[in-house]
Order: sequence, then structure tokens, then C-alpha cells
Amino acid sequence: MKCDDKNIKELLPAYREQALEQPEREKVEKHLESCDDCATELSLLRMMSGEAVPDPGEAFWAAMPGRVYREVQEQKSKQWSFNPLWLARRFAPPRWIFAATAVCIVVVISFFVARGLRQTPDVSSPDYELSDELLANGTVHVADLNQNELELADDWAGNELTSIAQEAGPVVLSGRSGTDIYEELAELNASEIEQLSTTIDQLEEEEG
Amino acid sequence: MDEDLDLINRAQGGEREAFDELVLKYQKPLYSLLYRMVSDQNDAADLLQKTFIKAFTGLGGFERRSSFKTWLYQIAINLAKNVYRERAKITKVSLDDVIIKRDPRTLDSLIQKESRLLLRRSFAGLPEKQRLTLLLRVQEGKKFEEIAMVMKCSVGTAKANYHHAVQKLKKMMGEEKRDRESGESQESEDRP
Repeated sequence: MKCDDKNIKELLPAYREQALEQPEREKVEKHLESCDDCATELSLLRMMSGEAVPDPGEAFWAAMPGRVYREVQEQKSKQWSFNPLWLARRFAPPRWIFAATAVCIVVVISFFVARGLRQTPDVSSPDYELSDELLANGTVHVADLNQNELELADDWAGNELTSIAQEAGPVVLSGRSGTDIYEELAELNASEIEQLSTTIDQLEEEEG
Repeated sequence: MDEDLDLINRAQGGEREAFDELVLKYQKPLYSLLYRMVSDQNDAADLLQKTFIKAFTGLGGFERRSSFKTWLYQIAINLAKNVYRERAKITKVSLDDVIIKRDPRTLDSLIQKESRLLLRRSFAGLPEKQRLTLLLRVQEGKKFEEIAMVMKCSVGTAKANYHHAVQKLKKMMGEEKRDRESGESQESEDRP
């Protein structure tokens, strides 16, 4: 009758090799007393392991290292002929070097990108001051102003442009290009607005 | 950690002594395995040499994920499989030629011999993976974890192959024995 005890079956090879501890050995022996299937399997295993391998002799064993070495050297000398694939495999650095190189490249690029970002002036900072170079040009671009300066410029432009528009009257309101006067005035830079204001003051004085 | 690592590194560096030491260490167990797979001394000797040559010329490709011994076994098994598939050597002896003398001095040895022949024939009839697993477990004494690494399968698969192999072997030997016994009894009936 077929035995379904997988535990015992797994222990049979070790039992045959006398590699079991006493409790397990006794468990197997007790099982074998009443199980023909396992007893047959054990005798099968004993028969298989008893199969002798013919010994080719001491001369064979002694000569094998030399034979293998000579053959290996011969094959290696043939490989030295130009074989790009073999050369690539032979001289290829270990894989970890490629990974390390990739990491280094990423670190270097990140360093330079971060450095570049740091050099861009933070115009939103209250401590930011317009450089002398920008002021010397006589022109100030909106993008160069910090938040405080933008708010001041906005207030100033609102006051100045409104008064200019009111004083300019119908002549200016239509605008040359037909666009809204405020749009045209908004396109003027600070220097141009200053000049316009000065001109209007002069005109008023002349009229006055 | 593979204890052969030092020998391998030295052999790769061109040290002849390290090279010879590795060959001497593994040639007997490998030969034993190869002989049991191909059942021929000359084939086994030839395969043994090819296994070492392939291992040492391809040492650069040994990634050290398994032990050097496991890697050698994998190479040996792959080389032997090709030979085995071509030759499919089975020790063929006509059982009719086995004369069972009623002499108690020879009876036991003859029965043993007959059983071995039955076993060899049944073993050769097993599917390849089951035969290899059984060979590695019973004749090489390898644990299932080692067998799984050599055959590149899970431990569960190795155990399953082993159990199926044993069951098939028992069945095949039982059938052969029954066929033989029924043949003998028919013979004795036919005798005048």
C-alpha cells in the first residue's frame, strides 16, 4: 500500500546516510516496521547509492590537471586574435564602475545646476537692491524690481498715469495706434514717463 | 563565502598551483556524476576534461552568485545532457539469459545482480530532470537546496522531481519484475 507520509519520505535519504538525530531516526525506524512502501523505497535508495563507479586509475587523476591546463592555455592564445567581442569582455571593467560613474556624473551636474540657481538674484527678497549698473542705464525693467519696489512703482504709475491721462485730454486719449491710452502709457518705462511728466509740466507753465 | 574564491582569483591571475588544486579537488566527484549520467568511462573522462576547460576559459563569466562547485556541476550536467540525449545508453541485458541456478551459493548474488539490472533500466527510463535530481540526491548526497541551485529550479520543484522519480522507479521496477515473473511462470508451464 502506498504511503502518504511525506515527512518520513523526506527523511529516508538522510536516514540511509545515517545523518539523522536519534529522535528522528527512531521515528523513521518505527515507521519502516509497518510500511512496505517506505521499506521498498529505502532498499531502492540503498541499491542506487551502492552502484559503483569504475576507477580510471591514479595515472588518470594525476595527469588531468596538466591536460586541462595545456588545453586552456592553447585556447587562450587563440583568443588573442582580434575579436572585438572577446576584447570587450576581457577588458570590460566591472559593472559597479559604470554605476559609480553614472552617480558621479549626476552629482556633478546637480552641483553646477544648483550653483547656477544660487547665482540668480532673489528679487523677492526685501534686502535685494538694484545694482548700480541697472540704475546707471536710466532704465529699470519690471522684472528686476523686488516686491516692495513693484508696489511702489504700481502706486506711482497709477497716480502719474491717471493724472497724465486726465491732463493730456482728448488729443492723447485716442492714442496713435487706436489702442487705449492706459495701455500705451503702461508700455512706457520710468524714464519715458518722467520725461512725459516734465513735458506736461512745461506745457502747463506755458499755458498758465 | 565561497572557500574557493581565493583559489579562483589566483588561478585567474595565472598561478598554476591554484589551477591544479581546483582540478584535483573536484575531478573525482565530477567524474562520478558524469559516469552515472552517461554510463561510459571514456565519455565520462572526455566530459570531465571538457567541463574543466569550459570552466577555466570562461572564468571571467563566473559571477560568483553561486559557489564554484555548483557552477562546475551546472557545466558538467549541461555537457553530459547532450551526450546522454544522443546516446541514451541503457545497459541492455536480456533477462532471459540470466540463469537462476538453484544453488544457494550463487542464488543471492544472482538476485542482487538482477535487481541492479532492473534498477539501471528503470533509472534510464526516467524523465531527464527526475533522473538528474535522483542522481544528485541519492548518489551525490546533495541537499535539496544544492540540487535547486545546480538545476536552476526552486527547492520545491527539486523535491517534487525527487518524489516523482522515486515513485516512478518503484512502479517501473515492480512492473518489470511482474513481467519477468509471469514470463518465467509461463515458461515453466510450457516445459514438458
